[in-house]
Amino acid sequence: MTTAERHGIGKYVAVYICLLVITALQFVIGYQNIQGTQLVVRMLTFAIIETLLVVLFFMNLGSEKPVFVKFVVYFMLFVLATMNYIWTDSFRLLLFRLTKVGPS
Amino acid sequence: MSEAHVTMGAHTAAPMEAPPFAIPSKKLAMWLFVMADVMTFAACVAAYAFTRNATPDWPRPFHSVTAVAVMTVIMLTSGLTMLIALGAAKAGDKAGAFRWMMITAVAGIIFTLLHIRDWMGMIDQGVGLLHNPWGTAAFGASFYAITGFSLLHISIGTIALIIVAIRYQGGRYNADDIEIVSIFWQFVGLVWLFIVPVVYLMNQTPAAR
Amino acid sequence: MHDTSTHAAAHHGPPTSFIRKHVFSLDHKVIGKQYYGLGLVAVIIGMVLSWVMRIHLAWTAYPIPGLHLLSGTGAPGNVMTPEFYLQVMTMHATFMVFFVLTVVPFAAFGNFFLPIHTGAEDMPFPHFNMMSFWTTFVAFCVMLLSFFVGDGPTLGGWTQYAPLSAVGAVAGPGQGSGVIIWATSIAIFCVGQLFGALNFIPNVLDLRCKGMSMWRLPMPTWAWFITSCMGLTSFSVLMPACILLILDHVAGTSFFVASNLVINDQLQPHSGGSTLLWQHLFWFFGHPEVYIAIVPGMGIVSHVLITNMRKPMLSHRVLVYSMGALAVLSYMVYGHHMFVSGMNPFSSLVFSFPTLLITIPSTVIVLVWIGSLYGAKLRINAASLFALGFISMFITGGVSGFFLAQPSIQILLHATYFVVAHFHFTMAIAALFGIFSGTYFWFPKMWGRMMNDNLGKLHFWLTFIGVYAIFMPMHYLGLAGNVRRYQAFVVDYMQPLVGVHQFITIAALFTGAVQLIFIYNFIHSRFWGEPAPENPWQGTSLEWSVPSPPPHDNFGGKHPVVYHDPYQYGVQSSTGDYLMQDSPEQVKGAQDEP
Repeated sequence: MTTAERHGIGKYVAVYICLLVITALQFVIGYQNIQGTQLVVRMLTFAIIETLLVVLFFMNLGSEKPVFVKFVVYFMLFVLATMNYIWTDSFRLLLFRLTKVGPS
Repeated sequence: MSEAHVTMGAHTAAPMEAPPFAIPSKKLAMWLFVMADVMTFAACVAAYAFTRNATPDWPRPFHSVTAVAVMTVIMLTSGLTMLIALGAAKAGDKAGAFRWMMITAVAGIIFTLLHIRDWMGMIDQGVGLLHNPWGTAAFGASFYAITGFSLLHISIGTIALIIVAIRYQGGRYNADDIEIVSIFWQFVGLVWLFIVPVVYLMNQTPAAR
Repeated sequence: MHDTSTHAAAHHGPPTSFIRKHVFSLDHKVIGKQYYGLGLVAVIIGMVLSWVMRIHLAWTAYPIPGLHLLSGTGAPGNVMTPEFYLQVMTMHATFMVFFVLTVVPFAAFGNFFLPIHTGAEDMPFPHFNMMSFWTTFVAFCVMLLSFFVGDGPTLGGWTQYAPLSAVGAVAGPGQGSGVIIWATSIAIFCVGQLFGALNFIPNVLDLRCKGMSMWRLPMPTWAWFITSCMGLTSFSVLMPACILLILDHVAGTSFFVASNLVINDQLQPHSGGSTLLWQHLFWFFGHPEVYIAIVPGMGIVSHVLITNMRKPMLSHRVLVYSMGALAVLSYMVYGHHMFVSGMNPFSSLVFSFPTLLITIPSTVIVLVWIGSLYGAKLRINAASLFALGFISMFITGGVSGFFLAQPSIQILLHATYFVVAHFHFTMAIAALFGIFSGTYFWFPKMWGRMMNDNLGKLHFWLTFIGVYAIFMPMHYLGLAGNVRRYQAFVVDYMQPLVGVHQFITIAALFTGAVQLIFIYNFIHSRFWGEPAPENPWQGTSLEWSVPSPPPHDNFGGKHPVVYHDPYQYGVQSSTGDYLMQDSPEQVKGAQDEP
């Protein structure tokens, strides 16, 4: 192995350790008495950080041309954002079920 | 125009226009497939999240997630071994690349077995698609749908790893093909990194205060 | 660094065996023709089904000879039962939307012409391309099978709204096995279209010949590229939705069924799901799907019009940007199909803004077309007439879209014939006119023979009159409150409208019969037509620089080099009033992108 390659593996090991630590933190949060929105926000924040690490380093998107990075990131963010229209109905259904009015 | 030479190959002498993304078509296709697959998983998770959010008495039954923690470590480690294999392949170390790919595949098989064991444990506890001991039936259905879909991806990925490794050793495939299967493998790992918090940890019984 | 070529996969020798040449062919041109043939079969099935429906609607008790062959129980005495009417309607829509409007403008023409337009020898992944067709073919066969399994095909409509699609046979004939077959077929179809998109996008990005910058791509190729991007992320949402629907059937889960539901006096065992969830997932796919059907038509029509106007459009780029805007907006508006679904009224408001917004790129596209046509000496032939017809249909359908985009009006018009008229004009008839335009235009290139233009013009005028006679009165029916998906109009206020339905039925039978002209013209020209020259329309893009039909590797082993924009018309060159894309000639007045 040349030094350059060892440097590459070193970077991956660093990312790997970061991922392990973040996942461990998630497990700790899972055992805490945290409910509802707080739980979702914390879990998703860590999951998104993990996504960044995996996509940029493990999937090597970070070393591609910026125009490709933009294509993937903007495309995905936009399409995933448009999936979030479901929430108004999800919360409304929750309201129906809690108040026992409306269809459940 | 200079990027054209980066992706130009030995197979054809045709002068081509520079690809804007400057990555080989196969790799681009894998990225596009991953993007489509993201939407497939997003739809499954959306179905789960929609239902869970709207269910007031959603159970949080998991007492111990040790097995999941072990599986996560295996999955993450397999991602690292995959990258070592890729690094070795790029450096021309054929034996090393093959060995690390096989190690990755073994990790994939162990993960699959642990996952099935986890499922068997759930089934033993009475968690089915229609019934579970804790409450709404949607719990079991969405649990099995999401994890089953992920398990399907991981098993296909493992098989793909073995095929690519063998063909790589036989000389049919090269480092680029390993890179492509690596992208897929990292992606299924990433999906698992989402499934752990969303499906397991958020259904973890909170510690009593 | 990368030792494989981006286009290594595009190389394969000419096939020798019959199977490799015509059946499991890797050649994108053969695959394109296979898709076209599949679409032709599907459109005939869909049309015959629509006739059956129309006859029943106009003369409810009138027996249709041979109808009992389609269904064992659905047509006693050759008269449809209400359930069988719905089954026929569902299959009409399913075949038309999936196997005609998605397959022909996008997969058939796209497969044939996209690699030629980009100057490539083939698609980047010919094996995936072959699998794309055969997967779609399997989906088609599975869908056909539903006529002959159990109690027939599903009656849930092409949207398969839950809960009736998810509770099983208790909801009616075909809601058991029929829905399972439907969902299986569509899930397979989604996989096939994914393979297609995985070929189209890398082809456009990576396999462009020397000099073919992105802005030098012809309009249809831009349209197919944009459509592929839409298909990539919308079909992949429908597929898991179909799998969850199958799970609801086979495993008894309740993803799409709410608690305490009584259907046909039976309390359903399901609990905990949501019917709206299916609609959200379905329309997340469903609205981009509408644009997957229409955007390739826009590309084809622009291509045909420019060639026949002998001058470029006012702006090539504005058309591309507008099609891109349609694609982006198509993801943001899907809720306008759900205004009366019980969706949160707040969402209705949110969805209506982008829905109204989507009229802007649509209007811009139409204005560019009309503005370019103004003062142009348009060559009148079948292709250009159908292109004009496309614009007419698109405007007519678009104007009713303004009304339907507003929740307050849409609530009144929802599920009436007004909506039927709207979506048939925009998505169905406009897209079909795009298909016809493309067929008349590209037939010489695809099959190497000319079509009879006079028959084509006759076909156009009769079809044009026919479709307006069918769908224009439907607006009035809708405004009068005539509800769609009813098999008979026995309610008092609908009784006077039956006469209109009879008129529509006669128009539909007439328009359907007119299509025989097309089929005759197609078959006759295919075998006995006049051999086509290389460039019958004096076009400029690369498909006109190769023989008709093109050889196995498209350019006969040569590597095309492109020097100009796709549409250099109205210039003085050595060949006439146009300049081919691959002509090295430099001509005064030619406008080239940098």
